[in-house]
Amino acid sequence: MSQYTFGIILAVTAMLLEAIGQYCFKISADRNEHGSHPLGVLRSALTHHWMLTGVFCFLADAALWTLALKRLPLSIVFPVGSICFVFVAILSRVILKEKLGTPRWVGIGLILAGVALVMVPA
Amino acid sequence: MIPSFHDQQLGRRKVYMGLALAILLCSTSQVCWKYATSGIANDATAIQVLLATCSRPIFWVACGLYIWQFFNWMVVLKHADLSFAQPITAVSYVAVGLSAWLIFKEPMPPQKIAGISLILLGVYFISRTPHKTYRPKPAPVVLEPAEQLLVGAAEDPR
Repeated sequence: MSQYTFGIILAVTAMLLEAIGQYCFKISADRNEHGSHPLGVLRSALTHHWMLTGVFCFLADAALWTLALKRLPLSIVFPVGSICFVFVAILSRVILKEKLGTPRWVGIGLILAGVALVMVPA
Repeated sequence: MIPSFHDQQLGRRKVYMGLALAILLCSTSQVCWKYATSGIANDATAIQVLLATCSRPIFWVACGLYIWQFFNWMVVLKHADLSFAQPITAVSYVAVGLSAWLIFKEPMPPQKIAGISLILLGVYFISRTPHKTYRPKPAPVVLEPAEQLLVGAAEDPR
């Protein structure tokens, strides 16, 4: 496998982990019985396994992302990274049962195109 | 009961304040992170980079901002859909791009302007949707006196 392909796989895996981490945080925020005061958040962070799983996902995400950046230029890794928006949308729709609707999907599509235009050199 | 118009507006304002803070914290911590690691020799080993970074106060500022970001994000997620809040943070791409142009005098070619406009348009589309999926709470079951008698009879083994 070429360094290029491996780098892309690392970046996509990192984004999948980030989306899963966001999902864990959302579950944790919804089930937080200690209120949204910082101390309440801290208390549930230390007792909720969802929160801890989310933090672990983010740490693994940061490690894989750094490894991907070592192999590929920023102008490729960043547009690939915006696939995170798609993963989050799918998880929200399928597991969290959120109503997305056409405007949100259109918005996500526009953001993907925009990130690609900003980051890929002409 | 469907939340009243006032409650919805109050919730929405809270979500927008949280999102604005999230975008601000995200872009500021990125810039601090960049400052903390800049000027380290390219051939430095991982341990050297780590030690050099930790010895700079700006690194600890970045860490503090990350922790603040985490608490703020949990508050946002408590009041909004994940599929609403997360894509809106794409504005931080725009903030970083604009600060690179304004502060670090990086060029702003037409392609970048087009990309930034598309991101902002996408965020506008998402911001036009309701910020939280409405989920009706199940109504508490209220038994008629006659039904209570029946339940009592069913539970009573005699």
